[in-house]
Amino acid sequence: METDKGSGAASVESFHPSAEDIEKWMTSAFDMARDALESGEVPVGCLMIYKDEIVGKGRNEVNETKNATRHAEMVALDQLLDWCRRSCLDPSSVCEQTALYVTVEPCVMCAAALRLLHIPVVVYGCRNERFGGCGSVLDVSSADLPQTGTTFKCVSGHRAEEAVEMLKTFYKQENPNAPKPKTRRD
Amino acid sequence: MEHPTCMLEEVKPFILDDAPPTVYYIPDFISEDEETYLLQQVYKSPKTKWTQLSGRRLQNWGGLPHHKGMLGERIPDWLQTYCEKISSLGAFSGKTANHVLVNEYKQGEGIMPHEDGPLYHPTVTTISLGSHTVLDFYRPVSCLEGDALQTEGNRYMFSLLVKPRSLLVLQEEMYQHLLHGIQESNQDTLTDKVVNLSAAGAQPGETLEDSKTMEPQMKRWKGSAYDTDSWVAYPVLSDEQSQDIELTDAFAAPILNKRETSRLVRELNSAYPLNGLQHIKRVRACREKGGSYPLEVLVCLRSDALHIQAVSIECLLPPGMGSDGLGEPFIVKVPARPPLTRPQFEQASKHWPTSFHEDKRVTVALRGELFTPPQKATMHTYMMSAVAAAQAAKKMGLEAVGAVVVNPSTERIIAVGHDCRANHPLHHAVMVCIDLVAQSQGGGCYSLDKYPACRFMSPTFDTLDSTLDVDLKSQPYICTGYDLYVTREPCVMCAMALVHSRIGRVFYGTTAADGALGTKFKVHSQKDLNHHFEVYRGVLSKQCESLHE
Repeated sequence: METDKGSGAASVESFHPSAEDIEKWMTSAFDMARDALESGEVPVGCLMIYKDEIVGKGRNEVNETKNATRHAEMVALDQLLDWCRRSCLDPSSVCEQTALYVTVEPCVMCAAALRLLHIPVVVYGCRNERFGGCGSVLDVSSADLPQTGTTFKCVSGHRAEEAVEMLKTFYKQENPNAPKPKTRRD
Repeated sequence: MEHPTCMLEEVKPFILDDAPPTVYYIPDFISEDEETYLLQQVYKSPKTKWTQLSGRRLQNWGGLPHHKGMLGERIPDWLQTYCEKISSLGAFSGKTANHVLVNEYKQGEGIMPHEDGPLYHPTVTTISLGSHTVLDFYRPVSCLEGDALQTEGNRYMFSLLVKPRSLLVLQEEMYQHLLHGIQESNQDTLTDKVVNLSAAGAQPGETLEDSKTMEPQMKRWKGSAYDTDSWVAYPVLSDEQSQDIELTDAFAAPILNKRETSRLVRELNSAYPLNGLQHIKRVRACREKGGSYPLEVLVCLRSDALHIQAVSIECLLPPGMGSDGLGEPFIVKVPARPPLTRPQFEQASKHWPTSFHEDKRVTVALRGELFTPPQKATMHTYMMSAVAAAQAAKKMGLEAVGAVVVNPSTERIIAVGHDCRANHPLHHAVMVCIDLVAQSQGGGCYSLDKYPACRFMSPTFDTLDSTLDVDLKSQPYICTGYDLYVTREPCVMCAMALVHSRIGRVFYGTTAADGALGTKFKVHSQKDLNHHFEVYRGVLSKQCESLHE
């Protein structure tokens, strides 16, 4: 038991992303977010990294799929599972050593999905005051939910102001797909 | 009137053996005089009774389903006679048909393949007036295996020739599984795909010119056919609404002379206004019977008098206000916030009289009485579909959770889904349903070919919609305005997915250990989120619980 515990802790320790990793992968994530913003999409960039390799790379696909759950993280998780299938690797052992790099704090739904797949580390830029699931609206990342996968560690704040600026720019534009707001009944 | 509980022996010879169970085709069910009379009555009805649809117009008799329950309406005598006559054959299991749609198809008009849905007793009976119709039958979309392109062509099975004055009765598989429709054509050439040629007195190869057809269709709404007393739907309220009331300490004192009451209240209000506690009444009747003073007044909150050492009425009152008229103060507990629900109000009133702006709907909902028996019957059918989907999942070794998305304004099922976690660890029943709704709108991205119980209804099949949906031009937008029925409380991922999808209401059967709509979180009433929705638990609770045994 003792040794098990020790080796488990060690592997999580060694798995923790280095400052260079964060710098490198967050730079890519921000490039993706900027591309998304320029093409009128939600400016969120996100990468799933396993053993220094990109195994999932998502951008928001809500509008083209008409499915409001197709956030960048969900798309990247699907790619990660496809990658496991193609590489004949067990998804759970891959997920346990995969880090998510994303420009904005994952929402409550995505945070739960990351738990369900046992992703151990999430590195994000700015907080997500509207939907955040790592403490901003709810803290799904560390909540006591024994039937909802495992908790994960968050590393936050990398280039946060820049991520916020991009979101602000986006939300100033109108979503052409949303229904016209109705007058309140109360 | 008592009717036989199944179709009479004497109509059994009219069963068509070449069609799936069960079609009765009875030629010359009515006479030519009766036909003329019925057509006259149809055209004598007020113009406003007609609803124009693409490809047909119709009259609706006997009420419309509505999300607030069935809006019943008496069927006029000229139709009632025929409802009775057909029901006396046993078509509606001993009951009488209570809904008639009179469809008028002009030359060259038709109707897309559709089914009549779960709201009806599974029987439709049609009398034809004026001209013949060729009714085509199709397999539902989900029944084809593999990746074959699911065109109307390869789903087509066979046709029935329906002559004027005949009666057509569709039951069982013919009603519940197959879709039926009428091609838009000016003439019909009869092929061997028409399975009742001899019964209808026609020859293969014969060509029939199409002209105007009138078809009164008798059906029976399912109503109280379900044991809706076996479950109660309770609202899952926000923490603010459901928690115990919070109390705060205050000083009260007896009013020595009742006639001084209004002066005392005025002076105390200006000396100690109860800021933020406007729900608390200043004066109450004395609790103890036979007490010397009948009224007591709230002097101030304990927090207003923290600096005071020895408590006496003189110390509590501000300089300038005489203490005459008030007895010795004592500590009482008063509710710190206005009560939001009747249980909170009742709890608060035990401590000190409190005003309450009652939301009657919430009060009725908390008693489990928000939904009427017809509404519960409708909810029952939806949850039954979710339970059936859950059972299909269980049979395939998947988690026994099923879900159904419904458009409550048309009472049509949009999507049915179940847990598909063997395929993908995140494909919970709710996520599957959300994607099926997207597929019904031309989007979606899950591949669910392996799971025939997961299906969606394309809105174009939903022909009755146009009679009900006033806002026809508004395209459906994700799950806006839709209701979800799910056998088990959703997890936090699914609950938030429903927020993103702007679901209208959620009904679930049983709670879950990590549930996020009441148990661990109340995502539907979470502050800071941009969308909130009502949640009810307990729908078909026993059936939903037994899925996990």
